[in-house]
Amino acid sequence: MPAAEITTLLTYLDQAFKGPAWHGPPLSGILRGVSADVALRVPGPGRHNIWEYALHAAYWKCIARRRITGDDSIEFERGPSDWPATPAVVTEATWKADRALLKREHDLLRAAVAKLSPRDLAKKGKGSRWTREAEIIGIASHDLYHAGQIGLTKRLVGA
Amino acid sequence: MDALIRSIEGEFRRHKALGEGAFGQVPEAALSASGLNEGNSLAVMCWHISGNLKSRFTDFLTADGEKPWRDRDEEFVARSVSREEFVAKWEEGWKVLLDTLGGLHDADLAKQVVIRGQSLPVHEALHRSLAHISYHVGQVVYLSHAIVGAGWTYLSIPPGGSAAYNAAPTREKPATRAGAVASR
Repeated sequence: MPAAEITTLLTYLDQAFKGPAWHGPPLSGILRGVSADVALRVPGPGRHNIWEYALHAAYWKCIARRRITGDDSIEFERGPSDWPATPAVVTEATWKADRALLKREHDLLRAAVAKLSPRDLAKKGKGSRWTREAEIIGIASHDLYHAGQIGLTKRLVGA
Repeated sequence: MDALIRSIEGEFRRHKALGEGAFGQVPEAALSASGLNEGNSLAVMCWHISGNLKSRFTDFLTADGEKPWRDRDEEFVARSVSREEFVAKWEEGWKVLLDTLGGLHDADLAKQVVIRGQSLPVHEALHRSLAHISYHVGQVVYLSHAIVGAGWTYLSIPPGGSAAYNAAPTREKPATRAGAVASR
């Protein structure tokens, strides 16, 4: 069983991603019920669509895991970095697969965090200027930062 | 050791800087304009964020976080404000939060606080607040970007700039001031 400090950080991660989140919808909750068609709608020039937000969140969970573990072999399976492109074929099935990718990256991240010991937390992650603790708190906030934006995007695109 | 409390404080400061980097680009008149599809304006979001922080973190360890003097519904009333009023309201809430965080230590995280009559540990109250602020600052940035449009200055990695950024990740320290906007 993880130490109390680790359990607390896992709670942060899980509440941001799947809830229950006191402030409102978590990331996975705000994606629930969004169709592929809606996920692809761009609210305006130069703005991201919901599908892109989902892949962006998955990408940074992967990078956070790489930094926390120090395992350079970890690479996100899609490119480019930061804002991975939506797939060439966009269907309900590929949208479902990308939401599953997001969940998979969340699960892998939390598994990596669960293996940490409390004394690891104050040390910087590999290739990061953040401590592991800050990295974990930051990636949880990242989910909610974009959840708020997805909520506004849904409103704009008529979801 | 205050590592955890300082990490939380750093993340709050990063979001403060993100918000300031965003609404600082918005023309004064647009700060009060209705949001997307008649949604909340930036001013309403600012009043809500500030009101929430001020209520939660005034006498944080000793009084209920939902203060009797807070009028939450009033925070959501459409308002017309100057930039000076906007920034003053924003700072009012953040000052209460940051002053409180500055006096907390990791040893305080297990203490109990009360919000709306419900008792919870300090670490959970801080996490709830950070979650709430992250969510709304994301919206402030989003709405500001929509208002500014093509002239927008990106607060994190600009489109197409990831490779250059990864080679020299200069924005990864928690920001302590607006303009020094942190990224991931």
